[in-house]
Amino acid sequence: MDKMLLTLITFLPLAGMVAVLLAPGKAHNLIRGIAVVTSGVVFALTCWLWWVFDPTALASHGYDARTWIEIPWINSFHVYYRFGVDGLSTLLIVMTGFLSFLATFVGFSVKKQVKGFYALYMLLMTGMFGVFMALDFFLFYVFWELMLLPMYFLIGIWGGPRKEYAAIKFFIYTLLGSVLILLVMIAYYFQVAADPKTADFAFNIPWLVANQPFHGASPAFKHLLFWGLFIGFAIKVPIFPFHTWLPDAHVEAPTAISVILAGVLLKMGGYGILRFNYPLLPEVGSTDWVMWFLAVLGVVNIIYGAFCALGQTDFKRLVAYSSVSHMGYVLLGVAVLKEEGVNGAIFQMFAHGLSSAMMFMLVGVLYDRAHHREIARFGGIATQMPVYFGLAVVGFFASLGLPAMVGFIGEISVFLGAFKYSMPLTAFATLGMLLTAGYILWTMQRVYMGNPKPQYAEFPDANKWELISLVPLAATCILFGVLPALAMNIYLPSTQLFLKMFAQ
Amino acid sequence: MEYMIPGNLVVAVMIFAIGAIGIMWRRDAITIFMCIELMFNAANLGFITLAQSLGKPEGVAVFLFVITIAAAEAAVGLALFIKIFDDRENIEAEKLDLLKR
Amino acid sequence: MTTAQLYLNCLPILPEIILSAVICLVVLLDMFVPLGRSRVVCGLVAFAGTIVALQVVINPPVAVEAALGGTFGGMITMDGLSQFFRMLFLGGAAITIVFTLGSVETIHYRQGEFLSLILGATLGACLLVASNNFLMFFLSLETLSLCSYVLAAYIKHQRLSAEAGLKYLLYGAVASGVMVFGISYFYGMTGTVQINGVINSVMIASSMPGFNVVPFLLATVLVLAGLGFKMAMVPFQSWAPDVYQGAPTPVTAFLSVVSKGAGFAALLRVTLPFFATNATVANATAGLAGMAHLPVLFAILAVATMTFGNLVALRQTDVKRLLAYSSIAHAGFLLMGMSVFQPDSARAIMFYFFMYFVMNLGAFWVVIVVINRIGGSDLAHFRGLAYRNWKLAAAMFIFLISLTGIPPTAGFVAKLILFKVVISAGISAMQGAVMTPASWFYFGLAIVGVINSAISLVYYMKIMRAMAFERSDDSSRLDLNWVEAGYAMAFAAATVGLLYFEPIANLVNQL
Repeated sequence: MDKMLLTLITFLPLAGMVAVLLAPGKAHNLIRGIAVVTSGVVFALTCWLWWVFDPTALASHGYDARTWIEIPWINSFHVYYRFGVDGLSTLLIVMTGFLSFLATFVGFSVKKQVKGFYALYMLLMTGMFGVFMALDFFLFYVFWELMLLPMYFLIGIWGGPRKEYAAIKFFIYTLLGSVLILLVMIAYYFQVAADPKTADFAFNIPWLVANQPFHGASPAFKHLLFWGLFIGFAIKVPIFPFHTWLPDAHVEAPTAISVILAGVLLKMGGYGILRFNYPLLPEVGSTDWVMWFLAVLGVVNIIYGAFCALGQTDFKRLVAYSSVSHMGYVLLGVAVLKEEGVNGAIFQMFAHGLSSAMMFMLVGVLYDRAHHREIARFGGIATQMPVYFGLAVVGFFASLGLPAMVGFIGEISVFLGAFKYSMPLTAFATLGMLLTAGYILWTMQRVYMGNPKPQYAEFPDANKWELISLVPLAATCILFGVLPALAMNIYLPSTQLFLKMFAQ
Repeated sequence: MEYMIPGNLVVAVMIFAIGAIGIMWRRDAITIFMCIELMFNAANLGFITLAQSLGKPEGVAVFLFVITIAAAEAAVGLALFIKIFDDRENIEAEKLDLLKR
Repeated sequence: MTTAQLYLNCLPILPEIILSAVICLVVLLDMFVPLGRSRVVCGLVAFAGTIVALQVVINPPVAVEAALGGTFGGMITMDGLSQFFRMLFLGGAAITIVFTLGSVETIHYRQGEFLSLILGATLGACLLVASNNFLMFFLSLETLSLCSYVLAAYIKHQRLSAEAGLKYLLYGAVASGVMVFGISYFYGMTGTVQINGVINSVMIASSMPGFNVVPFLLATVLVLAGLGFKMAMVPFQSWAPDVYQGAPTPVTAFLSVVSKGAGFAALLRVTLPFFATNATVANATAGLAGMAHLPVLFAILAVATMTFGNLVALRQTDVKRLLAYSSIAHAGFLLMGMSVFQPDSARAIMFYFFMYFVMNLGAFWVVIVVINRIGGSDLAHFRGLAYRNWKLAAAMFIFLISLTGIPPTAGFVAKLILFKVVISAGISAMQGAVMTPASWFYFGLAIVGVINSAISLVYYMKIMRAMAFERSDDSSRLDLNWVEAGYAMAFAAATVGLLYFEPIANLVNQL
């Protein structure tokens, strides 16, 4: 059964998609029910994965031996159906299962083309799980691209006023990135498949990491490969010059999709950097100037994202830019190659997945009632919607990085790692924390505080469907803030394996 | 390998050239079609001449078949000409522009 | 010739014999069956006959193995290449017959003639790929062409269709005239019209000192003109958009796979023997005479064809015409494989063609259904299709992303394998880690190919946009019958399912 677990998690949503497609188009509640049941079962399976995954007993290739599955798929091209998880992917898979389950409820606010929405949503889920599990380069690439089309339509059909522009921008950016990844994949294929003895490992990620086929290649070529992969993943993260698709896509996407975008898709960039970029080319990643450059780029992301967020008048856009800022911590944490830094980066991905998903939901709740998102026009919501306000406080403070909240652990851990690397840089980066506190508190003050405005007097408090999605998030935000070890223990051995590559 | 190029081959090239130039210059579909026939016949002349000078009979066989094919092509072509002429009273190739935008 | 010899000679072309018999049967049936029923009766007979012929190709009688090589005095040759393409052509014919039965465009005519013309064209295509003699080659090419001219002009009451037929005929006749003239040159230079004889003499002559390459290249270019016309290769492409748009859509689908495939099959037939030789770009750039000019020629043609097709497709608003330009662009990609001149590249071309076959037929089926139900193939008719019938729209999305080459579809693996061949040609041309002109050449070719794929995304996306993001004035639901929906779904499933391409790779590797 354990052998089938990863396959089940990945392809169950696909079965859900078929069920949704077979349902009559008018039966909205039936379709929603199918979606909830499917994503619920998938979430339960991911929890089971968390349960059976034993971080202390990894196999020699660094992945969990019980769930590892490897079946020859296309022999003539050396493609394998190869799924496996380590601590990093288990954590992200559980997070993905959790968020996609909750976002199903958020999707209830979609009123038109419900069938198409949930069908594409289920397809998207398959793509997301596949990306986190596939350990065959070819398979990984297929799943990576599989997410692209549903996302394009989910933004382009159910999005806001500028949905088409946002969808196409997202599509082009992501496709550009994946072409770069494809080119690197082909380079590895040619290098490895040229020798008949090793040809069968051409797409085998653990083998490529362990054997470093480009070990003897010229540094220039290795840099080419490294930066090809990096830009490919950086577009998804998004790292500073490649981030411009993100505010548009986040703002125009329907709330449920914003949640998935911020909560899961951005993590794929970080996951790619941790799983592919550094392990495949550790020599480049540990070069002095590369470490410096990427650490600085991470800090730029933190500061730049925070400044942009500070300047926004649109509530959702502000949250989108806060994502840019928060993902900067991930890059900073990885780039310095210190244990605290990498641990912090992984935790920050997890934490940001929870807090940003919650923030988007909070904005969505408000938007559903007010039908606008201008911060300046809100005010005094706290008195009108006390329960909602209570949850908002948790969400925003988690994002702010308040101690005993989930955001705090990741940030402080990244700073500890960065501090070991360079004190001035870290000192500069802490400016980002200040700015974050600034824009979040200022926003909360403008939206929730102040005198109640008459036009918002009729707003009902959060309804049961909104509570179903918000309360678990709030609970986890606090739970993992108080007990971070719950999440951390699962990936610590994997981080150590990761860092061993740079030990020299 | 030196051998004399038979004079007929030069004629064949000339006929081919006349055909090719005619296709490019003439507007009338029937004339174009006649030019195409010229090209076929240039090839035929070449085949017969070569068959004789090489002393190999395949060329004559090819010639017979090419003549037949050219006739078949003409049959299809003329049927289409009549159809289009019925429609619009002229068959100038330039004016076949329904499909261009 | 004894009876036994005749029997042995006839067995390899058993599929063609069956096809000829079915043609006669269909024409006869058409006369005796009442008009109302002739559509179904003739259609079923033609379909069944094609399937039987296909079955014979896939599982050849035992004696064929013994007769492999040449039959009919070396006129016909049976090898992996002809088996593969005959399979595709017969499959394409069977699918086109079903398309015809499902399309309203040809509904008012007696089907017998139409179907027998399709089968006749298929017969020509099958013989073309199997022919080992320039006479046979020319005759079968003309069989294919003549049937196609009539098919393109089949809708008699439509001026568009007649014009398409006439244009096709004029261009086609010029191309075959040029080709015959080129064949006469080969005959003059080598004294034979046997294809392998010609190739052997040319190979021997080219290895001699003082070999003059000019007449050879001239003759090659002339013959290439005839084939290039069938493949819709630049500069012989100008008929394609008009004919594709004007012809009835099942015919367009047929032309875009079987006729184009016949062109490539014939090209492979005459160039395949050279693939095993060392005629690479490296030699051409090193200034060596001989066959080495051909890869460069094909590369130039490939770049011109794909770039032209893609750039012009950007401006199109009629989906049928757009697909015509896209099929020109795909011919360019296939030609890119020709420029590598290795057995591997022939396999990659066949592989690509198989994938193209599936996704292109699927796309045309959607166009047929849209014409049936909405009444036209303009972009406006596709507007809001996703809301009117999601099944059809979803199938079309899959075909379009596959034509672009985005996973998880057949088009992606096709392009991947093709680019793999081109890039590995570039790598093997490298001397150690040093780039040579030849490796720059192949890497450059691959880059042009990638850029072209990116351009193609823009116009395919135009159709996707119209279907998903725009609304039509008439937003009523579009109800399809089960054939229409089922066929679209089946093609879509095949397009995604071919991501598992192991069987096709094995099939192609038998070459």
